[in-house]
Amino acid sequence: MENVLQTNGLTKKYGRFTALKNVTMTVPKGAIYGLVGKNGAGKTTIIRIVCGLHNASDGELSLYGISNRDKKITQMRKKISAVVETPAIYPNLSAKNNLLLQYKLTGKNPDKIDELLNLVGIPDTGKKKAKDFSLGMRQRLGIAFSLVNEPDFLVLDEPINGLDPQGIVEVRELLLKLNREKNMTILISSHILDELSKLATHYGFVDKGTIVKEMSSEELENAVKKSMLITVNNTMLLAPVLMEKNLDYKIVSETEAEIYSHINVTTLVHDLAEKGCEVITMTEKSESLESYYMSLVGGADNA
Amino acid sequence: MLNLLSEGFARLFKSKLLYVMLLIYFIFCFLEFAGIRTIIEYLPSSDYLLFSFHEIILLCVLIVAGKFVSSDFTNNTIRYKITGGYTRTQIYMSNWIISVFIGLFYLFVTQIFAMTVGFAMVGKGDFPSDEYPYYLMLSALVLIEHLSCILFMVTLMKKFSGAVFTYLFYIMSPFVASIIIIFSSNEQTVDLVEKFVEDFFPLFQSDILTSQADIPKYPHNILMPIYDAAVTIISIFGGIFVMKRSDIK
Repeated sequence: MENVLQTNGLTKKYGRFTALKNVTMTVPKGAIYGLVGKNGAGKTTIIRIVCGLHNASDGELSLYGISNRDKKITQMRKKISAVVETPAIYPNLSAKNNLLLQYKLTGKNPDKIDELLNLVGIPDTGKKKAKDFSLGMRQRLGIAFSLVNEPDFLVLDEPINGLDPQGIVEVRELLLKLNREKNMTILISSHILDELSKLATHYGFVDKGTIVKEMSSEELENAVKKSMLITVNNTMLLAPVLMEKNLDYKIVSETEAEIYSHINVTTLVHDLAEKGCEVITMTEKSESLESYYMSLVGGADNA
Repeated sequence: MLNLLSEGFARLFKSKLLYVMLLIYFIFCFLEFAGIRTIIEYLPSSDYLLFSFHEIILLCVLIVAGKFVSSDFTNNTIRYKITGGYTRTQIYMSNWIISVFIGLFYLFVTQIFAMTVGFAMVGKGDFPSDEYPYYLMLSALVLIEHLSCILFMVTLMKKFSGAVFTYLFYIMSPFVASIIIIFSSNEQTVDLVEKFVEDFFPLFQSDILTSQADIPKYPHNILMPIYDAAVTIISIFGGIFVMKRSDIK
């Protein structure tokens, strides 16, 4: 599979402070790559280096196979677009005039301005200046900015910050649409993990300036701890059966227990019925992305 | 690079500041002319009419060019240029070209205005003088040097305060020169420092241009263009170096 972005031992130091330490990550073509990490973990620094805004102190990155040490990297950057932290806009201009300048910068024909504003959900802002926009509207205008050059690789840093619930859904659907219909590769950072889990096909978990784990959504699916929540009339009757079967379990209450081992439901229900234990409900539970992240970076201290 | 310039000029002409400063500038020019009219017979040269507001141009272009360049940093819109595949050298040079354009635009507008008013006041006789093209070239060089310094400082500080510091630097430099002069017993050193300050800093070069006293006499006619060219080149290379090494927010 072709890789859009590959970093190798990327390090960034600000004076004595090391913000990034040997970051090695790979973003495959067509992926929605979620950078997961708490505030200050180094997500934005990675994004800034990828976009060329910051110079790496050490290490290397390549975009479409071209190293950042190669002068051709600037040509590769024409294929990418980014919204880093707060959206960058011209505050004294209207949304249309903002986009018009961006079209001039890219040298493209500005015939799709209305279509673009419609796409990001701010079609009727008229002559209202961007400085009078709400944070959510600015965020949408920032996304529109990034779509002007019809990028192949879209980099978004916390794109749903400031958006209302409807806006979050709309941005999510927009990103999924761009990914599916235009095969756009997306690198997206967020600390709202549940939202990210609805989008991402690949994950990079960042903590203290390093990528602690990189995996696909399928790998994550397999890695997260699954359990079966069983509700019975009496867990005193349930426990001996589970112990006899040598299963890993935890009694939650007088009527509920969690079973972590793989089980054959039919056999278990049959055995419990024989001991007079009545099964009321059984529900499969998955550990959330949040819990998995916490287990990776070392628990609640890092929340 | 052409796209960068196209975006830059579009942004410049959409900026209200360009026109507001031009209006303020015209008001200054008008007041200056009203004042000159009463003392016209005492002027060293009729060309005084054409260059008497050179110091005001410096201030106007400082505000317009400083704001133009710094807004790209403060609005973070410079990100789009970097992520859009332009090199930092291209970005710096496009800012330089637009800044110089701002300076030359103000100079051009002034000359048109001053010529029109000057003809009305002095008549066509010896106005402008034969030395006018030389004065004009020097004015342009002083402005280019001035704008190069502003661009360097704004790129260094990534804020409009960079432009303000440039002006403060001009103002503070004579004090530094005075301190050197006070503590220097050597007359040659004193003379050298005085000449350096006069010919080196745009504000003082502008003062010389305005007064029309020493140009094109030696050594100003030699030193000023040399200093202007040298400072312009050094500040461009310095600015590109700073730009390349900077981390952009």
